[in-house]
Amino acid sequence: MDLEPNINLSTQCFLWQSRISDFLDGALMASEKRIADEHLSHCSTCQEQHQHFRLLLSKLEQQPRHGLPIEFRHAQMGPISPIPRSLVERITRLPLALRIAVEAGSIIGLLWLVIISGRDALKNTVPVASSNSISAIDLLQPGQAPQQPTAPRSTVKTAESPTQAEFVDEAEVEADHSTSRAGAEVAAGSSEIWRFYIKTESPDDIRAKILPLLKKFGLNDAADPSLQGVEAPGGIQFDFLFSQSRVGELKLALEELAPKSTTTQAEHADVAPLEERFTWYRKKSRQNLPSGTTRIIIWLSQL
Amino acid sequence: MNLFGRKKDLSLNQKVTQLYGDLLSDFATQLLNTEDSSLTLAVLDKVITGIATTKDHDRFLEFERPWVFRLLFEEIEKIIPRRAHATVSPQEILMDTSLQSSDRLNAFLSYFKRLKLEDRAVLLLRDKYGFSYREIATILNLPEGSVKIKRQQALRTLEEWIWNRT
Repeated sequence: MDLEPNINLSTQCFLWQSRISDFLDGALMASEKRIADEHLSHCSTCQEQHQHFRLLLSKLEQQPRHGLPIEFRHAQMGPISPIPRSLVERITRLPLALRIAVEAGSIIGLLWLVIISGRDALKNTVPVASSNSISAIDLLQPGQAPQQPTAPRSTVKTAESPTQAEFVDEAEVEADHSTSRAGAEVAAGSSEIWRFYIKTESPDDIRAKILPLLKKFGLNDAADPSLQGVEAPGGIQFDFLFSQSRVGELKLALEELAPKSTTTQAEHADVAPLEERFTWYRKKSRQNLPSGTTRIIIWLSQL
Repeated sequence: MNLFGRKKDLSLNQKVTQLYGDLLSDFATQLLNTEDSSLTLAVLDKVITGIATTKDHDRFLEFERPWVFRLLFEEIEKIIPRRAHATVSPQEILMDTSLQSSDRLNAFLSYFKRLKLEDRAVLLLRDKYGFSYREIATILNLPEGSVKIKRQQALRTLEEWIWNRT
């Protein structure tokens, strides 16, 4: 039965209602739909019915669905695990062989990390002497006589200093330091860094005394700033390579330059005068120094 | 899953439960028109278990969805005749006369439940679940043209009850 435009209204109504299901589904051909739309525009009865049908279908679609109860589903399917959310849940739901591989790999990776970090930590726990500890409370060893630098004796806590970058070249092991009293001469080992700290009320005065001293030792290159004393925040620094065999001489000479205490306490060997600061220590250099040389760092700071 | 992660093949009833469980449950609930969920579950259990024991696997593979729903409809038909009229309670009759059409529309479900089993099945399968006329014809064992007509008749009946149209 086709919808035709040239028939009376009642017949059109009858035809339309016989095809209402297709019209609701949108399954009419274009020409038929055009005729049906035209009929609806003229026929209030069919139009109203169409609206009612649309409302009814809408109501039917809105009805809630009664899903299968979980217990019934489980009875048929077996227990259903919830969708894993966390990574741990996802891993536990992996097939056994894959899970063993994942867990074994994780354990091996973790052990490797522990070993690597532990190796680094072991290196860090070896005592390191600070070359920049100006107050150097640890360096003050009341009553301690200078010892031969045959073996490391103690450690000094590392402190910040303007010459922090120098630590890069120094091995973080085996520091030897002492306060000097009577100026015992000591012998330098190969590839070592020796640091001398002099605290004074006038670092410039001491520098003026160090310059001719270095000339006396044959270090008289005026163009080398490290031999002239570089001014840095907090003091003046000398940094140069020196003959290994003559380090002891240099040490004694610097001791002589260091300002002496005016108090009688300086006379006593077991008490370090507070206003006099001459301390030194030595470290092994990580960088290979030219054979027969020792790196010397002299730090003059304000008392 | 087995050791290497391969999913085990589901049995026929497990497959049906997984694919159509919710639809079957709603279809049975709407058709049985009862508050007693145990009856609905008993019918579903009988149908799905029956699928598990069926030897007609080829038929299932060919028709699958309509075949499953047909089994369910046939089981429900044993309880409620497909063309029997539903009983209308006095409260519902009062609702018919006292309420406005808009209010009766809001009480759509109570009018829907009054339809014959076959009419309800057609509307549910077509307009709520989106089955094709061919599938519905298979489920209800009717010609495809008859399914369309039954749908139109069901809608007219509802319209008559809600909007007092004759």
